[in-house]
Amino acid sequence: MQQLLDRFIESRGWTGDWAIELVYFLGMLFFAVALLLVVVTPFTGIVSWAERRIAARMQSRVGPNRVGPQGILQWAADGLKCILKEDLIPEDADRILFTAAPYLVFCGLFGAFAVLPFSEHLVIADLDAGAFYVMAITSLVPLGIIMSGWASNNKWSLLGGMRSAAQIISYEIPAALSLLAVVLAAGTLSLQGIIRAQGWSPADWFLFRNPFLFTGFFYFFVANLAEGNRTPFDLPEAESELVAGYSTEYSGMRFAFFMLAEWANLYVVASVVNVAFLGGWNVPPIAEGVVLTILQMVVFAAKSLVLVFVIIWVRWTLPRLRVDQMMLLCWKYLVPLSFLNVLGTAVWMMIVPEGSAAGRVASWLLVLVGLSLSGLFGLRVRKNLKDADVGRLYLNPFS
Amino acid sequence: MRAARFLGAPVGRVRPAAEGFSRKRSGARPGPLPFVSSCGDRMNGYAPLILVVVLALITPAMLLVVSSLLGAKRTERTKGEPYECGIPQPAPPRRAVPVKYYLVAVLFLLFDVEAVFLYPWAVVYRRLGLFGFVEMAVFLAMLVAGLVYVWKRGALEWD
Repeated sequence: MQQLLDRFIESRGWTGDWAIELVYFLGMLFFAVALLLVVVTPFTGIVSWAERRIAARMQSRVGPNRVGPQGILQWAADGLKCILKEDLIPEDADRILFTAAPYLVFCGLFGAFAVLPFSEHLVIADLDAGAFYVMAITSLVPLGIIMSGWASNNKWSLLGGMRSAAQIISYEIPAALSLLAVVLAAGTLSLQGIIRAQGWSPADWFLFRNPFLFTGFFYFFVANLAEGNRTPFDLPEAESELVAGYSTEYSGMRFAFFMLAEWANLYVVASVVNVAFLGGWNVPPIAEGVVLTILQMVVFAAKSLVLVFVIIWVRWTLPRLRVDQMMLLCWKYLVPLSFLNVLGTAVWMMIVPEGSAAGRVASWLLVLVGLSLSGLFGLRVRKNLKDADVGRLYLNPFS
Repeated sequence: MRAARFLGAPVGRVRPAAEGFSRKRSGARPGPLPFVSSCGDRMNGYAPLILVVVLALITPAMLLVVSSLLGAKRTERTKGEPYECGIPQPAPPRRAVPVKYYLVAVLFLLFDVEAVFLYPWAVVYRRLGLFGFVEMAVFLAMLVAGLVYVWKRGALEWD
C-alpha cells in the first residue's frame, strides 16, 4: 500500500508535504471505500446467495434461482427490498440503544477488514498488533447484540441477546489461547508477519508445524464458529425457539445490517483462520510484480472461500447444541485443551528448533496425517452416500 | 532520494519525505497534517483504522437515510407492539437476568485478561529462552489451578 502510493507520488514528482499527506489520506480513503464497495458488500451478498443455494442442494431443494443467472443477483434484490421497507421501532423500545446497536455490529465487522490482507502488499493497515486488533474490534459485535436484545423490549430478543453474549465471551477464551499458540510460533502479532513466518508448501504452514498447532487449528475453528453464531452454535438466533433471537424486533435496513454482519463475519473468520494456520497468500516464487500480486490474491481468496464453504457445509449438516452442552464444550474441553496447546507449542519450540531436520520430518508426517484423515473422511462420506442411495433423490441443482 | 533527483533538486538537500522511498519502514515524520503523519509508519499505522471506523459509521447512516426517504411509512398502533404472535405481551420482558450469565462474564474477564497477559510473552518467547518458559509455565499453572477451582466449585455447570 505505502509502496504503491510512494510510487504514485514519485511518478508525479510531487514533493511538498501537503501533497504527500493529501495523497496518503486520499489513497487510504480510496482503498477503504473500495474495500467496502468491491469486497465487503458483494462478498456478503453473494455468500448469502451461495449459502441458500448450497443449503437447497443439500436438502434436495432448488433455492433462489430467479434473479439473474442462477439467481446470483438475489442479494441485490434483497438489499433493495430492505431499503424500501418501513423502518419500525417498537413503542416501548429503548430508542437510543435500539438504533445504535446495528452500527456497533456493522462497525465491529467492517473494522476487522482493515487489517485482513489480500496479498503481500494489499492491506489497508498492517498493524503491529493486528491479531489483537481483530479480536478487540470484533468484540463490538456481542456488545451490539446484547444492546439490541435489551432495547427491543421483547423476551425473545432479550433471551437471544443474553445467550449470544454468554456464548461469544465464553468462546473468546479458547480462540484467544489457540491464536496465542500461533503467535508463539510466529513471534509477531502482525497478520502479515504471521503469514511471512509460514511458507507456500503445506509443510511450512502453522497447521502442520507441530502436533499442538494441528489440534489448535480445530479448536480455533470451532471457537470461531461459535463466535460467529453459526450452527451448531446458533442458539442466539435459534429460529425454532426464539423467533429470530436478538433481531426479532428489527425490520428493513436495520435488520439487513445484522444479516450483512453475519455473512461478513464468515469471511473474517475464514481469513483469520487462513492467516493463522493455512499460510495466507504464500505462493511459490514463480512470478513477480503484478502477476505475483494477482497470484497471491487468488491463493488467499481460494483458501478463504474453501473455509467459507466448510462453514456453510457444517451449518447445514449438524443439529444445534443445547445451551448447557455448548457451555460444557467450551469450558471443560476447549479451554483446558487450548491451555495444553500453548504449553505444548512452547515446549516443542524449545526441543525442536525451527528448520531442523526433525521439525521438517514432523511437519511432513503431520501433512500425511492430515491427508489420510481427509481421505478417510472422503471414503466414509462415499460409503454413506452409497448406503443412503442418494441417486434416487438426486435433483439437478442447476435446473 | 530518487524523487529529489527527479525534480532536478540538489542531492544534498534530500527531504525526509523523499528519503522514505529508500527506507522500507520509516518512522514517524513531522508534517503539516498531524492526522496522517502521526500514524507512525504512515500507511501501516492507526490512522487508516480511524478512517475505516468512520466509514463504517457513515455507511449505515446513509443507507438508513435513503431507506427513510424511500421506505413506506404507515403508522398503526399495533405495529409498535412487541412481537408476540398478535397477543398482548404476558409480562414485561426486562426482568432480572439469571445469575449464571454474570458468572460467565466474571470467568471471561479473569481468563481473557490472563490470555492477554500471555501475548507479549508469546511475541518475545524466542529471545527469553528457558527463563521465559519457566516463568510462563508457573503463570499458566496458576491459571489452570484457577480453572480447576471453579470447575470443582461447580461454576462451570450450566443448570
